[in-house]
Amino acid sequence: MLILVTEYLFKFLVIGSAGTGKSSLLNNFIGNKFKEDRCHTIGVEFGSKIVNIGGKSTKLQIWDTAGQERFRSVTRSYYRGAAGALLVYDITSRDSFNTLSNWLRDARTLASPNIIILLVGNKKDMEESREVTFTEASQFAQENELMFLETSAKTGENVEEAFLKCSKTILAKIETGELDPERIGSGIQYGTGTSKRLSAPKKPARMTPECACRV
Amino acid sequence: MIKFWKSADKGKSGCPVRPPEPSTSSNKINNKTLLDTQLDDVEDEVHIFEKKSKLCLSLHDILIEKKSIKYFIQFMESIDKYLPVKCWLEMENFKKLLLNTNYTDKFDSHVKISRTKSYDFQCKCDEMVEKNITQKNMLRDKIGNKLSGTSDLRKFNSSSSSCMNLTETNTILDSCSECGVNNKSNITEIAIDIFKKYVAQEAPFTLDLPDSYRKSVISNICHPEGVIKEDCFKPVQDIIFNEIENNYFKDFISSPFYIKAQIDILTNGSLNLKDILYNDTLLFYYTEFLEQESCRHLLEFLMAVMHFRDNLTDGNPCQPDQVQADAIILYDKYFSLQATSPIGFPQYIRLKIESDICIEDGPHHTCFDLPYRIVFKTLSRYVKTFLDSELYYKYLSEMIHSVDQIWSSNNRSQSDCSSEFSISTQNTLLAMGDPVFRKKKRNHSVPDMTIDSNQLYNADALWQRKKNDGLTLGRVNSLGRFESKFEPDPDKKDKSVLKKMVSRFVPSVTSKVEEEMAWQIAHMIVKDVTDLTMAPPENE
Ligand SMILES: Nc1nc2c(ncn2[C@@H]2O[C@H](COP(=O)(O)OP(=O)(O)OP(=O)(O)O)[C@@H](O)[C@H]2O)c(=O)[nH]1
Ligand SMILES: [Mg+2]
Repeated sequence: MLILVTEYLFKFLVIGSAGTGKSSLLNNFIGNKFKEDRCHTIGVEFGSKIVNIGGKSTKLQIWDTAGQERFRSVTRSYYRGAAGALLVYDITSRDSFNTLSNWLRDARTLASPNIIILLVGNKKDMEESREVTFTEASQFAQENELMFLETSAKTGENVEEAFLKCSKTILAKIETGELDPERIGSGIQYGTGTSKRLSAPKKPARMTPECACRV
Repeated sequence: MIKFWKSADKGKSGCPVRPPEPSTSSNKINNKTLLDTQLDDVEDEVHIFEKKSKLCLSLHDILIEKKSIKYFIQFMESIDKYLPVKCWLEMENFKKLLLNTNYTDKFDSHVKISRTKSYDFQCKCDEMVEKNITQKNMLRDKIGNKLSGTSDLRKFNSSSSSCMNLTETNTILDSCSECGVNNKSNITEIAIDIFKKYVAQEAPFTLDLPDSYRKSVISNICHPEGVIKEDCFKPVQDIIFNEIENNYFKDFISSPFYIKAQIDILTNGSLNLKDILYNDTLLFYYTEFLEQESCRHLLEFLMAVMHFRDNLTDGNPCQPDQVQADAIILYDKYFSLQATSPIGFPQYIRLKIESDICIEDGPHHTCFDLPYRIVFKTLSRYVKTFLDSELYYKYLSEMIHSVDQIWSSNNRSQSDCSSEFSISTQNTLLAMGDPVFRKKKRNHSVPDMTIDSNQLYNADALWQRKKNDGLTLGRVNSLGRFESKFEPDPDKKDKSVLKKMVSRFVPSVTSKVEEEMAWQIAHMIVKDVTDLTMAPPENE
């Protein structure tokens, strides 16, 4: 039995319009292969990863939400109590950039007021179809006090960077006392109990025979 | 059907490829969780889709359903705004009382009051046509009763505004039941009483209501048809409710009182899956727990089905094509034999879903309800393990801690606060994780060992105690070494002080085990105290 002790656990959101590559970013980050074919997220897809930031091992609980407008009202209900968020647009889609302020407003009002948001311009690899320049996006980021990176979920460029940068900022704020991990709804848990059992999972006691999963 | 499998044929676009029946993805087996496919009945079919967590209290829950109301009252008292709540509750009680009275009333009689021409808002009761003499005889008594009542009223009224002088209240009732009559006349009085107290212009507890509200209550009480309706205070209640909601409720939600209400719910053993699913903070912990148990994909599945359902039931215009596409995504992810997050549903469910997806006008919103219920039940079982888990314990202690913290930062001045005490009790309970130990301790409650809780919060008192030799735990001997009174001195024959104390509390007949337990407790106490007193000053 291997026990990984983590110092903190952060709740992390990935938000932004449909098709901007949120799920692809998450998949790349947690080590899954990039998929060309498109598969909309319905509900929430979870991912988690333990990262090491300045000697502190921190676990990210990542909530990749559905970007389609018709799911908006439901996904908004998951914003609360997130410590950090990646706000994703697609550099090849002006539309996805134009809706950023709506996403931002939701995040700021619904998530914890101290949420750390990093703006992500994804699909950096598709330079030839770029519709949003780096400069105008950085300006938007600056105006809205966001950090900013351009990434590619396809090549993996800057993906880990994005998650790490956001986490670093959260940790720094914890250290300066600006963020209080003990405040309920901070989206931060202490890691003492988050030791992950890598042995066979414990199963609830009672089980009915025919529900044993067959493949 | 055709469409589904047609698109399935394309395969590459992420749409399902109908797999050959005898599949081989056995390497995924360890990713599976044991599902509870035996659904006892359909009893909670509607229930499980209701989006409500007991942990998220609305003002409606608190005032109308009386959930955690004591904490809300404490909160309102703490900000000196108890009056609106009190008024609202009194009006609500009145409503209940009247409803009950009307309900038990077999004769459909009412307190009848009517307005006369000569006085503004003067109330008078209609006379009812009586059918038999016995009733009339009874009536005479009642009138007598009533008159004494009204004279009281008159006294009461003289102090209040002239527009509400209920100078002559002549109530005649046609009920056969004497006690019923008393109830009814009381009801008028109670209504007037409440009016005087809160609504009248010069009411002692004025609520600053607009005149229009006052008038509408007056006409409700003094109804032209003479019937006091149970909702006669409704306009006032509504305005108070809104005022509380808009002005104070948000502060309550972020106050330690709210957290305390939640702690109560968290510790009363009634928590179920819905309570967790619809409470963000707890869901954060539960998600982590499920990951440790390797079944986070079950939660993912629930959420996906919830989205799928909501999308169809929220009245959004939805093309069947799109609905089918959504359903196929879910199928691909969780049901297909090549599913990316296989849940391990039995074959009959997979087949059912396949045919439900392929029906004529696109799948129904109930398409995934059966598997949803199965997973819901399975995850409910995990809730029980969760409630015993370290993570849950951590969550609870964080809640308790944050109450403590807010109290100590905000409310130090209100030193005599009962809530602090209750929280510290909670803490101690939690600190004693071992239930056996807890039980033993309770069994051994020692009468003389009670501690005055007030003293605990009056730090000064500690230092103002008279010096009492009997209280010392030991002394520093000539060599400068601390000698504990409780460590049995090997040279001395007789029992140590502590030993004597312990044997006094533990009756001699009790078993060795119990004495051992008492000893351990005593040791812990002594150790704590000596640790504290013997610790070197911090600045050294
Ligand atoms: N070239 C390129 N394609 C990408 C990149 N990221 C995502 N894609 C493609 O964009 C499409 C949409 O990606 P998703 O990750 O499903 O988008 P999403 O934001 O999760 O969409 P929703 O779940 O509907 O909100 C897929 O076809 C991906 O292959 C990228 O960095 N470069
Ligand atoms: Mg997605």
